[in-house]
Amino acid sequence: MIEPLKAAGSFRDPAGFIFRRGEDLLRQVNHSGRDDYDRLIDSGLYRSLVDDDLLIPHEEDSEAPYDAPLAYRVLRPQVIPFVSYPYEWSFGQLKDAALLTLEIQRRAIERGLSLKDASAYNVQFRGGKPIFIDTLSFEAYRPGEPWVAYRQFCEHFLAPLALMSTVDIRLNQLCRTNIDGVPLDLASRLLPKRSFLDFGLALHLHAHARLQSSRGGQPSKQGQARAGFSQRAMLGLLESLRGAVSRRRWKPAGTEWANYTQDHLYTPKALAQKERLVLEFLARTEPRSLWDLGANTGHFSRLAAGRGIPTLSFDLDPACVELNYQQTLVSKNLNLLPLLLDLRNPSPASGWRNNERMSFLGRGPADLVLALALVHHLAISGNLPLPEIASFFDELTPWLVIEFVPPDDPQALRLAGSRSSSGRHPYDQEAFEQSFKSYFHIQISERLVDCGRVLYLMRRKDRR
Amino acid sequence: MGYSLDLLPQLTTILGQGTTEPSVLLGYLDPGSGSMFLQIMIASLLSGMFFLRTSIASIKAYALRTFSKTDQGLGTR
Repeated sequence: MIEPLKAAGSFRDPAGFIFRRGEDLLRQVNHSGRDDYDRLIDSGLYRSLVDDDLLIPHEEDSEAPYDAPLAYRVLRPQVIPFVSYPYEWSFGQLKDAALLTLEIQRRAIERGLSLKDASAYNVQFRGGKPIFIDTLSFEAYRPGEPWVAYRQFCEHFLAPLALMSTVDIRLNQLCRTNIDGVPLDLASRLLPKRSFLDFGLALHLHAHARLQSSRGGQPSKQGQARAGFSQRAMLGLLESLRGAVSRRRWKPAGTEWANYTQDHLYTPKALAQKERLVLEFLARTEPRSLWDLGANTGHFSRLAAGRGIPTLSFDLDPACVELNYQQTLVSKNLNLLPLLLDLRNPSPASGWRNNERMSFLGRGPADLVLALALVHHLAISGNLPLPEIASFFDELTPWLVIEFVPPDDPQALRLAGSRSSSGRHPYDQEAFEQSFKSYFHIQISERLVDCGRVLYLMRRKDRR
Repeated sequence: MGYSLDLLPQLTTILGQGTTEPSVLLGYLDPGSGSMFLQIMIASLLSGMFFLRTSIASIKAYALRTFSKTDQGLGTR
């Protein structure tokens, strides 16, 4: 008998929760969520949302529940291969997730239901597009009542989008420290004065923040809800929020690596050789999942995704991730998910008991990791010793495709700046191979023409 | 700054009186008293804006249908 395990991040809603039993991912619907779940199905909303790829599909299952006395149903939702978080999304990804949430609420209202929460963590990316994953977020719409999730929507979506587009794109990292959303008073204080001229921001963020502060201590009352918030007002609110979100725009430009693909140092011959080698390595290893670390705008990720390999394309530059995402949408590449990640400070485990949101490493391992033109960033910019870098990759993957960039490479020299090599950890090809041989067997290595860079295919040593 | 919001707290305190009853809202998420109140305050505005938008869209659609029918009629002559 396999003991079931309750998902750490699924405890807030008393209507049900996610649990694992062995390899199975299941959702228990509690008796307290029975009416709303039945309404979701019987109203036709579930079918409408699933048919349009807006809500994750599930099947009702005969598996034993996790907590039988509480259980009404057990559902088997379709599994999302990799769970990502808002602080790992690009601007466009967060914006699309916001618009998805509003569209779901609009359809729900039309069918007599409403979203009882509007958390960005209820959205995941599947097949390159956002999809709503919380089947139990729906409740009966009570005519006359305002939207209970209005504040949460503003904190999780509108506030970070406004800050990213009008102040600085890096402010998406506020989502990392505020997993319950960016506080409205903080957003209001950080936004420039000209944001008051935008009606949507003035209303939904600035005025909203003031009202939160002035009425913060007072409980929300049923009577307020009955003050007459008509269905038309609700649809008007959603339309107003949709406008405020849609007007937020950010053009990826000016960050460090956004033009790298165009400006990089490979000759056409070297680039073709690198592409050929990567494809050869993929054909040889046949990975079922691939993480491309330091992917830039995803050129090599696309090679893997094009072969049907589910690929995550990580980069630390928000502009690269945004360009990658936009390109993924245009090409309808279903196997590619671009995400934002600083490898020198990857996403930590966070939330309640440090367990509500998973760490980057906790979501591994990947079958194969691509680390192309990356190691010099870690070793030179990040001051990380090569043995430390090798040990990190050992933890991450059994198959590694890694490119060594020699210390006299123009990019390596640029990163070193005025620092002398004597003040840094050893960085040369011999030290590189020595460090990686502690954890990996070097299967193939080939020097790229017209530059001193070397591409390696490595296999992790057996752990005994 | 386009306009001042300094009076909002006072205004909401005044308007808030008389619209509250003792029973607490259903649901596990605290919607925030200010958030609920803001929605009620702007309900008429939102409703009006929505009505206007849908009316314009209907008129546009009607005009488009009418003119496209006329065009088709002319084309068949």
